[in-house]
Amino acid sequence: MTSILPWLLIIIALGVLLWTAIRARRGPVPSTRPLPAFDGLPAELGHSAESGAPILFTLGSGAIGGDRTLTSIAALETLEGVADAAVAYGTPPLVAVGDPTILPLAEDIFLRAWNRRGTPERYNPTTVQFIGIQPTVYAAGVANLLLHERAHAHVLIGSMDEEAALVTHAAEGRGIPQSVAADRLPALGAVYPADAQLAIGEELYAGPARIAALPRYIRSLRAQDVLRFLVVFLILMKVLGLW
Amino acid sequence: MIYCPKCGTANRQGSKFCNECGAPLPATGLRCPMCGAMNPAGNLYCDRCSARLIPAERVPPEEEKPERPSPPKGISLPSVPLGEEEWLSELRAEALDLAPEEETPGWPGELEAPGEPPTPETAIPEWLAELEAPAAPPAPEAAIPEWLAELEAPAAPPTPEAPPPEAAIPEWLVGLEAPAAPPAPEAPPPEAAIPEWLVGLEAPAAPPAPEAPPPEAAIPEWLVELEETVPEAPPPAEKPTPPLAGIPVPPSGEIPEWLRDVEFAPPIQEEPSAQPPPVAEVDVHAGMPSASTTVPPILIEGEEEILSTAPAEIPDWLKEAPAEAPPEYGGLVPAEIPEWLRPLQPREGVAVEEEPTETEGFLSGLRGLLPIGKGLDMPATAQPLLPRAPRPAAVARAELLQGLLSRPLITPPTAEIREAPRQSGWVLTRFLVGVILLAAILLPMLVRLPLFGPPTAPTAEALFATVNQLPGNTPVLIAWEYGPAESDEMDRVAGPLIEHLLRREARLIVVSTRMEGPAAAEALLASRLVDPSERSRRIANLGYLPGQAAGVREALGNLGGRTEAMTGLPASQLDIMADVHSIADVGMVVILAAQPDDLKTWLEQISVANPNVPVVAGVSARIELISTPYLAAGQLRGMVAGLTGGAVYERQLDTGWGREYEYYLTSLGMAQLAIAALTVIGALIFLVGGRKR
Amino acid sequence: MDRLVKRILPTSIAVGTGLLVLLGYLLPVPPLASVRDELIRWAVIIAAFAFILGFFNLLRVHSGRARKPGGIYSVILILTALTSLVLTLAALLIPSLRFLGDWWFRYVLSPLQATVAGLIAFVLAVAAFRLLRHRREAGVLVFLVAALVVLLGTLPLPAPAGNWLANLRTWWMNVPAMAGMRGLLIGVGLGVLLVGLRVLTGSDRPYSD
Repeated sequence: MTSILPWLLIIIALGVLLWTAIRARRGPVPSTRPLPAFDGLPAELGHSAESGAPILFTLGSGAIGGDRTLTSIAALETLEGVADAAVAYGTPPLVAVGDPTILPLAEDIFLRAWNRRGTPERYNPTTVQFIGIQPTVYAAGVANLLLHERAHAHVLIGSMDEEAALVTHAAEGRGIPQSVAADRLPALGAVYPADAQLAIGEELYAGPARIAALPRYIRSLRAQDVLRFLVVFLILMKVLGLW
Repeated sequence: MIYCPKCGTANRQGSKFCNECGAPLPATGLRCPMCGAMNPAGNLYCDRCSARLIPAERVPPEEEKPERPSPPKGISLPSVPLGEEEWLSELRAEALDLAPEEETPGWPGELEAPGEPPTPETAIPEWLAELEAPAAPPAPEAAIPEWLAELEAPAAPPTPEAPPPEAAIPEWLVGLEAPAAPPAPEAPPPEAAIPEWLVGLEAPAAPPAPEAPPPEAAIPEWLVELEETVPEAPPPAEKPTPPLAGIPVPPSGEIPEWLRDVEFAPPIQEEPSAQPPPVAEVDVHAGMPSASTTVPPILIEGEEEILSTAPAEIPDWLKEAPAEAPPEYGGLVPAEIPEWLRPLQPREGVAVEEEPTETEGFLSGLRGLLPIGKGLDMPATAQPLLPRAPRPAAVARAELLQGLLSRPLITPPTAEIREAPRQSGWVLTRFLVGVILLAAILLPMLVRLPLFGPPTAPTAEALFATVNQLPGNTPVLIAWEYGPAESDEMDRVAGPLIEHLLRREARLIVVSTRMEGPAAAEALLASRLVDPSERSRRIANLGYLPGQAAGVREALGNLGGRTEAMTGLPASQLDIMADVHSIADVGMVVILAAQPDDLKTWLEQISVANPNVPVVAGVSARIELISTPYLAAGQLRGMVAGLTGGAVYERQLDTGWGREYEYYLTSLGMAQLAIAALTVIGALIFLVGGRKR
Repeated sequence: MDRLVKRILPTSIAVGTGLLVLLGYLLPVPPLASVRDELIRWAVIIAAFAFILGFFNLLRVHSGRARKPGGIYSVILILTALTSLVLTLAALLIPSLRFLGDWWFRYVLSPLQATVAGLIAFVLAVAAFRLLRHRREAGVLVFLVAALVVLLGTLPLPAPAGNWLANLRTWWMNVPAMAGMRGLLIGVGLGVLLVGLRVLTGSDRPYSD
């Protein structure tokens, strides 16, 4: 059973995705529960436009091709959800990446956003900055950005460990609001005491659904919920000795 | 396919919500005959190609109007067929009753579509219905009259048609062809069928003459106010030439009732044979105020002067009361033909030059549509309508604008980086915490503090026993997964273990999935190797493995194919690698990891490649919790974690680094005590002091 | 054509490649395994080229920042990066110059990274001190107790307090902390699974519109 359990989960996940995709054509998109770490982001975009200072997005040290690939992709999806609004306001955010494989994807997000607006010439190549590949070096570089660049708010979403404390500490020292979404245990322990809105664990993967509210993201959350209840059921069955 | 009105994504037929953005989709119902696209049921025109979806037929008013679906958002044109307004249909009915073949100008009705038969009755137009009953909600859909809709989006490209029979020529155009005797002014028709505002246009047939202003009661208040505000202006010096001079006045029977009172210019007193000027030479601006005409201004808010392009005096139609009290129609106040419109009346007795009849195209059979002759290809020269002398207010505004534009562009000073207001005690907090931590770390190095007992780490002791049983000359694969950032701790964890392996005469084969791993390995190996000359015989540094898990899997299957990082030689040429080609030839694997992912990756790949090889680990204290399950599951045969584990292992090995570990452990203990105390003190302070506002 | 190039083609490549690699892991078919290995090798090479992009991005950003106030640090960064590059290339091309690279790594880069890592402890201490300043919920109390138990339980304090704290720490790490960790990891794993399925099925296209 343990060897087929992963495949069972995958098959069930695919089935739920397909079922929710079919239902999406017939019914309205369901809503998700509030996530304070992401709900305030659209408003912060507006405030950023008013103040003229960009929002700093920290996408973490995760690379494309490793264990942190999908965490980084979820972070990129969240960034894509705010890109159109940010370029419409004329204050695109500042994005700091810790791995060069994320760099072209993040740049492409804003390039396409400017293209959709019909003003590709307004794309600034320094919107996305590669800081450094070592996690501590990356965190120190982002902290330096927060200290010396005029950032309106800070959003940390991605794969980081306890060095995230350096970043949140710098943002707290600047007095700017920040949202942190972390799925790794060392990072959670480090950022929990910080003055930030937290998204813990799998809430990071709900960020795109909450920001962009596209049906495919919400369908994915539905599938995730189904799988979670299934796993809980199996654990209970095993604990109670019924399986 | 249904196209989402919000994002434009094509969705499958029958979808109610967009698959891409979730927006509700309009219900389908109509397939376009031109492009085949599906359109919402209420559409009149295709969303894609703008072709007409519903034939241009009139819906009889007695029939039930189809239920209007909710309008699609964003892109659709009027969703219901528009009917003819009632007043038009009444006029047409009356005209048909009087003389169906008579050349009664019925151009309002003819504007719908050429060749279409008129329908008797239709709904009251919205604007008229609103005047009648303001409480009635306006119809949401019928916003664009049909004649306007026809102008917006013709249903089909015009095709050349045969010249229509005589009966199909618009009556007002026919009337232009065959001028008859000037009609005698007739009494107004029965009022019941004519809208009030049209009836009011019927002025007496006599030429317009200044008449006494009507009684006050007959003039709406707003007109009275306007009359009061509009100052008297001298009448124009000369009567403007009617623009339709030379156009014959159709016979009385041809003039619709509403138009009968329009005074046409009196026939030009000239020889009957005199030809009116060609159309091309008619001054299009005749009748309109010219530059030479003194134009009294109109009052505009904030200005002294008044602009106007209309005569200053109140038009006759505003002043005059109808000779007979016209019947009310829907509460409208009857009006008269304004003076400026009177020159448009066709003049009697003026012969119109017979224009050639069009023979081709959809205009075939018509005359006088396109001016021919000279001037056809010459652009119309617009005469200035504004007075030559600019008004002082306009001059002032222009000067202001000019001044603003001519100012030099001043770049505003760059705003300095605004330092956020420091939170209260921020600097003091950091200073105090820093001092306390520093004191806690440095104090044990200055003063021997017998605060702590000997460290204990059962897992480190078990690992020591495992390594102690390793046969001599055993190849040991070491996964060096930490860099300079973690080297302060990990060197104290890995150091005793490496030295123990060297003491056991093991051959160390070092690989790393981190770029700085090989360099960090060289630094520690050089410090722990007693005889540097033994390096080539004891250590092979195979360098960096790109690709993380994929790189590990590939390396485990082909260790001999790699290159030694320090010498650049192929691993297969190294004596130390003589009998080592893959993971199967290795006696033990040691994972030195500071990140949980690195430990997990190596364990997963080793369990697939060679599950029987013993694996031990030296890990950072931060991942001890995550590593413990692997130890409990048997995937790890032993583990040394953190500085404590390293100190225990060091004590077992007795390498002489004991004093250094004692300092480290005491400093670590003091720092932990200090942080615990700071946590408690801070909790008490902020619990009592209150939460941040 | 635009849709084909910008959307259909990249999606097809991504989905097809992902399925080939996945099937290569699932099915024990040698040709499939070799295709899988080759595709992974290509991915590794492409990722290596991304480092070049990152390096030039670094130079571009900091060359622009060098002209602004405080740009001296950007100048130092550019010089350090170029020095590392030159020394590494020199070590590769001229083996006798390898010691320069070792020296640069051991006495410049390593201490800097270790220093930054050491700041983390200081920052965590400040954050622990200000814990109750920002949050007043039940979870904060649990966090506080857990932090104290682990900090004090790790210390080799004299008996009996030391033993009692050590046992409490062991229980805390093995039961509540482990349970919470596993629950978190299961949830994260499910999230990762769904994101991966979205990318594999082409529903998510971070590489195209």
